[in-house]
Amino acid sequence: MNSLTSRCGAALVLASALAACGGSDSGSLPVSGSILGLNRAGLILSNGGKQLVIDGTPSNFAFPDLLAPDTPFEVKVDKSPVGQVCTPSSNKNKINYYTYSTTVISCTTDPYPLGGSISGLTGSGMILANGDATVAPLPGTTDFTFVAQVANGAPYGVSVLKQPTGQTCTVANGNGIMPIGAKHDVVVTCK
Amino acid sequence: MKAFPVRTTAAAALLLALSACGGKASFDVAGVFVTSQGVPQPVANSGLVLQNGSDTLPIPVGATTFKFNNSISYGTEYDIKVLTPPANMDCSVVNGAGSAGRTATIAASVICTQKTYTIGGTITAGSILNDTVVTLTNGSTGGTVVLTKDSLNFTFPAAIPTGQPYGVTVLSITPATANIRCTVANGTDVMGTAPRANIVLTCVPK
Repeated sequence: MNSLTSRCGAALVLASALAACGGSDSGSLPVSGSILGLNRAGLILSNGGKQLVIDGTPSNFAFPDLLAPDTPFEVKVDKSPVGQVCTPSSNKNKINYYTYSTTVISCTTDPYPLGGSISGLTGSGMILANGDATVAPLPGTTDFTFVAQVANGAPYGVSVLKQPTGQTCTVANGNGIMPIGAKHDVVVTCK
Repeated sequence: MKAFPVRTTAAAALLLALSACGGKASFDVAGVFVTSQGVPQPVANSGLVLQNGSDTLPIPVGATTFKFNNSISYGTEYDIKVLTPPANMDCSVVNGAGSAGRTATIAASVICTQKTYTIGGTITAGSILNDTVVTLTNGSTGGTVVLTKDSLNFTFPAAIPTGQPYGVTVLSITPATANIRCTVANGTDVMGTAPRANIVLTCVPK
């Protein structure tokens, strides 16, 4: 990344030298940076009131305007995608060779609780699993929620890791894609 | 200053250096067992032996710190290595080498993680026909596999550490007009110390 940055920087310096010859552009550096964790469309960034709509889910961005050295910049997140929260860092400075590409936009996907109902559980020791996440409802429990929340847009699949003593439990409605909001319709039936 | 013999100056410099590090002349070769995030983590499995030069140190299960029996004097080089990892674990050493006195104390970190193994399995013949696509998932973070009529077997891309649960289920069957019901056998368990390929997907007409 460092070598890439410096190579880009070198290219930009060259470009600016050429631009200086042509005299067509006063600026030389684009405010740019990297994007982490973006997994859906809808991110809008801005610098100095000029918006940049991010197309798709790239891992970097660059504003189209070239700025003259020492021009202040501050990249802001005008809008995060639905279900994600994006936060800028190292995003405010005066632009130069070392600062033009420092901004990092970090996006996290909102997690929500996953759970459901249990009927007929009298035995002890049952463990439900959603992959590596587990929950151990006690006898008599009629409701469960995994402690580990699930990112919206991620799959989930609930199964019985350990059957309760003397009983067999089955899972219905245990698979799906996590919505933007809690999901509490998994049905565990024990006999 | 010129008048001072060189030897005296050197001695004074050594004294200064020693006082700068608290006046210590002897250093414990020591450290902690942590996760990759730096959180203390007791050694889970037996068999770990650490090494500093010719000095070896067996580590019991449950240890959170270690200290070699022999301390070393100021300026002595140290290089803590894993001579033998614990059973079924991989370990690495951070800040394990240097010269005694360069830092106030020798504080290495040893990070041990359980080995990981893949899960996978087979598809009962005739389960998936025509253009039907069956997607399996291992919970929300264990990855998915997409199966078609050409799939003979499958392996999940994400390997699983020993001792961690997994649960493979049928996430989706498309198109809905396939009108089949799929079940997974041996899909939920806790990872042992070898790869698993015993999961069986079977689909039958509804």
